Amino acid sequence: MARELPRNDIPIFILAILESGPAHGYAIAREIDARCDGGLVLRDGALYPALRALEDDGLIVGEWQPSTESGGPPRKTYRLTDEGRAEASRRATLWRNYAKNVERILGNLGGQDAEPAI
Amino acid sequence: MQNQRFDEDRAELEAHFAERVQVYVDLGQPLEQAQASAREKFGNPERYLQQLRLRRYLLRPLQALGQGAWTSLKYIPLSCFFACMGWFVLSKTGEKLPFADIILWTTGLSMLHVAGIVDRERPKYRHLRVFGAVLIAEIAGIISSLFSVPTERQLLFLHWQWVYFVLLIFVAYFRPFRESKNAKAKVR
Repeated sequence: MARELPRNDIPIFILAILESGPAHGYAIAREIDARCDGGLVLRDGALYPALRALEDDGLIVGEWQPSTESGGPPRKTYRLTDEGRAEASRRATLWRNYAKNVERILGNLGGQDAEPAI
Repeated sequence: MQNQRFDEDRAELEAHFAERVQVYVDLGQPLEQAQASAREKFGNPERYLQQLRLRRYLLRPLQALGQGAWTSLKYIPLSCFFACMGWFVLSKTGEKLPFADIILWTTGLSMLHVAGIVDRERPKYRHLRVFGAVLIAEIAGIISSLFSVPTERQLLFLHWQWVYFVLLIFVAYFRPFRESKNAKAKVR
């Protein structure tokens, strides 16, 4: 069952995608969809407030670049800063600990075939 | 500068939305259906754009106030032109110097502008610019009061001016709700 991504969880996913290299908004949305294989529903527009927040915190930097296709519009491409890379790693650790603890608390609730809680 | 950022935000969201539409078109959907599917996946672009704008203003309240003040200043020459016309009319009817009317016109036009009646900007953060404009209006009022002894009738105008302020602030605050209702009606 697909679950909509809570707004507060979006920044860590953006940081994780940008860890693999610079990307523009559409590419980030596409990559999130691809990695969770439709298991999480992301409204593309919800990316942008999160991108602005990360930019304001100095964790990512956005730069306008001409389109790779002829006649296409210019795209704003985002990349991690050094601070962002460190923060991504820190948040990923926190998330993994959180997910592990939730699994422990849930135990066998829902049976062996139950979907992971997170 | 702020308007440039808004334009960039819009360009970015529109490019993303267009790309989403193209994907659905490539999958074989007709254009209208592709746009509807993209809207479902993307959400309402205008809503997100407003969120971005609100965020920028929340982060920079002083800048928003400054923008309102600057907008008011830009409108003062136009206001003075109207004030001179008012002075001409008043001179024919036997009134004295029109300083009080200058304040009336200056603040009135500025407030109209920042209230969004002639402004292309979107609603939610409008009140910050209104307050910026009020600050300038107050300063203009103080300066002009140094040079004038208003007649009784002009004083009456000044009192009514405050009613005008309240009405315009009301418009500035409540127009967004009307706009959002219109937007919902359009979606339906």
